[in-house]
Amino acid sequence: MPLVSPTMTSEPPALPPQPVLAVKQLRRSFGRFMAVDGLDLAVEEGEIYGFLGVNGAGKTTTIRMLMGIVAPDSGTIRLLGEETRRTTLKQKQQIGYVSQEQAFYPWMTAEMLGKFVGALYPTWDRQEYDRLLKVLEVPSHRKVSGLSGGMRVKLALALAIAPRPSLLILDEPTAGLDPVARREFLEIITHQAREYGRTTFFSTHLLDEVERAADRVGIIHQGKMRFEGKLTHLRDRVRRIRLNREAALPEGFAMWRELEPEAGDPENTRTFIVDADPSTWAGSAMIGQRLSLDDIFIACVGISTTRI
Amino acid sequence: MTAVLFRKEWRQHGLWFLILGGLTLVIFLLVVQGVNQDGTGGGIFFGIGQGMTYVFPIVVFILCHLLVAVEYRNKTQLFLEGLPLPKWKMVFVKAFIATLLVCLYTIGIVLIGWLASGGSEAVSPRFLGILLSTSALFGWFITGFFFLVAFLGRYRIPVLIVVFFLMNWLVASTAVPVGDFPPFALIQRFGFEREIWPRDAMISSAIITLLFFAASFTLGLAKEGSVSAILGEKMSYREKMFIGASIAIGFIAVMVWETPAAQPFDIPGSIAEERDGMRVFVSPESIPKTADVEIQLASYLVRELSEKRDWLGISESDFPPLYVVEKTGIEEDLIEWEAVEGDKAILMYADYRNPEFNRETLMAWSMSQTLDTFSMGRNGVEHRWWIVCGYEGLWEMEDASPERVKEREQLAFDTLEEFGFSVEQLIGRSQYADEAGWKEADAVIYMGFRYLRDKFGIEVLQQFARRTINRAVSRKDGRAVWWDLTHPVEREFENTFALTLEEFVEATIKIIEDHNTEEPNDKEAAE
Repeated sequence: MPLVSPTMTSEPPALPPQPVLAVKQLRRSFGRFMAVDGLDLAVEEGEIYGFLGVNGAGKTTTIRMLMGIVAPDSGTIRLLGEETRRTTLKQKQQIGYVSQEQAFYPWMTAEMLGKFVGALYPTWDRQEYDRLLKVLEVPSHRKVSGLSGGMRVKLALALAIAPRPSLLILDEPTAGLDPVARREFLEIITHQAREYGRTTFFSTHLLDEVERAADRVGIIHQGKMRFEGKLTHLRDRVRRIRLNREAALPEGFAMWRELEPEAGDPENTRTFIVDADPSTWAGSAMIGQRLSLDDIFIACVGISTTRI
Repeated sequence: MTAVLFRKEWRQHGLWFLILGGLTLVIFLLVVQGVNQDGTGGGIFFGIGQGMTYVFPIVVFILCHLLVAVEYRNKTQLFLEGLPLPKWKMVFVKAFIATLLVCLYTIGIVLIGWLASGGSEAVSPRFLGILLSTSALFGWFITGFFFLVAFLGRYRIPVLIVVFFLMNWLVASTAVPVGDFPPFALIQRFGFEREIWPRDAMISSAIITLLFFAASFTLGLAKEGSVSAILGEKMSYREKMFIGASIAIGFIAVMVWETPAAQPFDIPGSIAEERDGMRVFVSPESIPKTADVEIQLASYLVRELSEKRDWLGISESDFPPLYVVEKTGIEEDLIEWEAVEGDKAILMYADYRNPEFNRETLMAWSMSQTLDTFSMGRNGVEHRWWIVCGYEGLWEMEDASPERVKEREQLAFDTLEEFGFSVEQLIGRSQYADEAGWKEADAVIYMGFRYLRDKFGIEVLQQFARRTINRAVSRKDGRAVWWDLTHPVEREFENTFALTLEEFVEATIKIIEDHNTEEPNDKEAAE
C-alpha cells in the first residue's frame, strides 16, 4: 500500500479562481434618487452573466460605474484582478464595451471608426475587425449616419470584440433589434464565450435572452440585487404553493409573494410564491408548482434578496 | 493616442476651421477698408483693435462651440468616455486646437492689416512684434473665456447674455475703467503703442487666461458622462422662458433707472468766450450772484489757448473747444479731466473758486489734453508724451512766482536723488511717473525743457514742437504715420538741438543739480 495516496500531493490546494468582475456594496445616487443601493455581484471567468432588471432598475448606472464613466458614491469594484474605486485606463483597454446608445460620430465610416478606436487598444486586431464587419454584414465605407439601428449595434459589437478583450460588457445591446438580429447577436456572444473563453457581462430586460445565453443571472430591482445564481437553480428553488388560510409556512421556506385569489381557487386557501433549497423541497410533503421564468421574475422584483 | 484625437478633431471640424479663418480675414479686410474710406478709427491698426473687441469674440465663440458644446449636445462624449481615453487628454486636445487656431487667426489679421494698409502704416519690427503678441494674447484670453463657458452646458447662453449686457453697462454707464482691465488694456492702444511692451498687462492677461483654462479642465473632468447630464445640455422650455424674462426685465430696469450723463454741449449757465476760432466755456456748479470769476477765467483761457495754438501752428478747425466745469471737492491739484465721446471737445473739471486753485495749471493741462486728443492719442503714447509734458511745464511756469519756481526746482532735485533719470525714463514716461509720481516726473522734464529754452531760445523750441507734436491725425489721412517713420523723434530732437537724448538727459541732470537750493550745510543743519 503506498504511503502516500495517489490523490494526495505535497502542494497546497489551489485557491478558487478570483472573479473577473466583482462589486461590493456599490452605491450611487443622483440627487435624492438612489440609483444603485448596496449592490454586490460577481462574474466568474469565462461565463456569460445576464444582468436582468426592469427599466430604471439601475442596470445602466451599474455598467457606467464599471466602465468608469460615472464615479460610485461608495463601494468597490474589482475588475480583472485589480481593485479600484474607478476603472483605470489599463483596465479599459482589456474591456470591450457596447453602450446602450451607439453615439458614434455620424460622419465616420466603419473603417474610420476602426482606425480611431484601434489606435486606443494595444491588442487591436485589424483583421478580426474586418472579418467581423463582413460576418455581421456592416458596410465598411458607409457613414454611420447611413446605417440602421441594427447595423450600428453590430458595428458596436465588432468594435468591442476586435481588441480581443478579456471582458465584454454589453449594456442592453439588443434593444431596438428585430428578433432575427437579436438571435444573431446572442449567438455571436455565446460563440465568443465558448470559443475564446471570453467573459461576458450583459444587461437586458428580456428574459428570453437571459434564458438563451446566460450561465448565471443577477436580477436587480430598485438598485438592489434580488437574486444571483443559475437559472436552473432559480426554477428549482422558487415554486408556487397553496396553503390553508390558517396554516403557517413550514420551516425552510421563504415567502416571496402572496398571490391574489383567482376564480376557481378553493375556499379558505392562500397561494404563495416561496423559495427553498431543492433538498428542502425534496424532503417536504408540500408539492410546489414549478413556474415559468416570467412568473419568477415578476415575483422576484417584489421581495427581499435571495442568493444561491 | 493624442495624435488620433487631433486627427479626429481635424476631420470633424477642419472645414469649419478653414471657413472661420477665411471669414475672419474677410471681415477684417472689410473693417480695414472701412477705416481707410470712412475713418472709423485712428488708423488701420486702430480699426483692427476695434474689430478684435467687437467681432473676434463671435468667431471664437463659434470655434469653442464647435469644439466643446457640440460634443456634448450630440452625445458623442458618451462614446468617447467608453473608450480607454483619459478625459484630461480629450479636453487638452480641444484647448490646444482652440489656442493654435486663434493665434493663427490673429496673426493673419495683423498681417492682413499691414498688407491692406499699403504701407501707409509705419511698421517697425518692434511695433510688429508688439502688435502680434498683444493681439495673440488678447485672442487667447477670449478663447479661454469662451472655452470655459462652453462647458457650462445649458447655462452658457444665459451666462453670455448676462456678461454681454454687464460689459455694455459698465462701459457706457459707469466710470469703471474697463479698458484698464489687463486683457482689454492690451488692445486699448492697439495700433498706437509702438515702443513699449505692455508687460504688466501681458503677464496679467496670461495668468487670467490660464485660470480660465484651469476652470475649463475642472469642469471638463467633473462633467458627468451620464445621459441625463448630457440631456441637460438643452434647456427646458420653462427655463428658457424664465431666463429670457429675467434678462428682459433686467435690461428694461437698467434702461429706466440709468439716466444718461449730461453732455458738455448743453451745460446750462455756462460763460462762453471766443477768440480767433478758439472757444472756451466755463460753467459754475450753481448759478452765482455774479459771473465775474467765470468771465475772467474764460477770457484768460481763450487768450492763452489761442496764442499757444497759433504758436504751435495748429489750424483752428483742428483745435477742439474747451469746457471747464466747476467741481468742488477735487483733492489733487483741484483739476480733473474727462474724456468726451467722439473727442469733440476737451472737458476739464476745476475747483476754480478755491484759493489754492492755479489757472496756469489748468491752462497747461488743457493744452496737453488737446494735443493728445486732436492727435487721437498718438501724442499721448509712443514716445511723444514727454515732449508734451515738457511744453506743459513751460507753459504752466511761464508766469509763475519765484517761490513756485524754486519749489519746482527742489521737487525735481528730490526726484532725481531718489529715482534718478535716464533716457529710458524719459521715453517711458508713464512708468517713470508710476514710480516717482506724476508731479515729480513733471518737475524733472520741466527742468529739461527750461534748459532747452534758455540755451537754444524759444524759436528753436517752437521749431521742435512744430516738427513733433502739432500734427492732427486725420481719420482719413495716414501721412502723419509716414512722417513718424521718416522723422523719428530722436532724430528730430538731434537735428533741432544738435543733442542726442543721452546728452539731453545729462544736461537735465546737471541743471537740476545746479539749481538745488539746499546747500549740504543747510541739509545737515535741518537734520
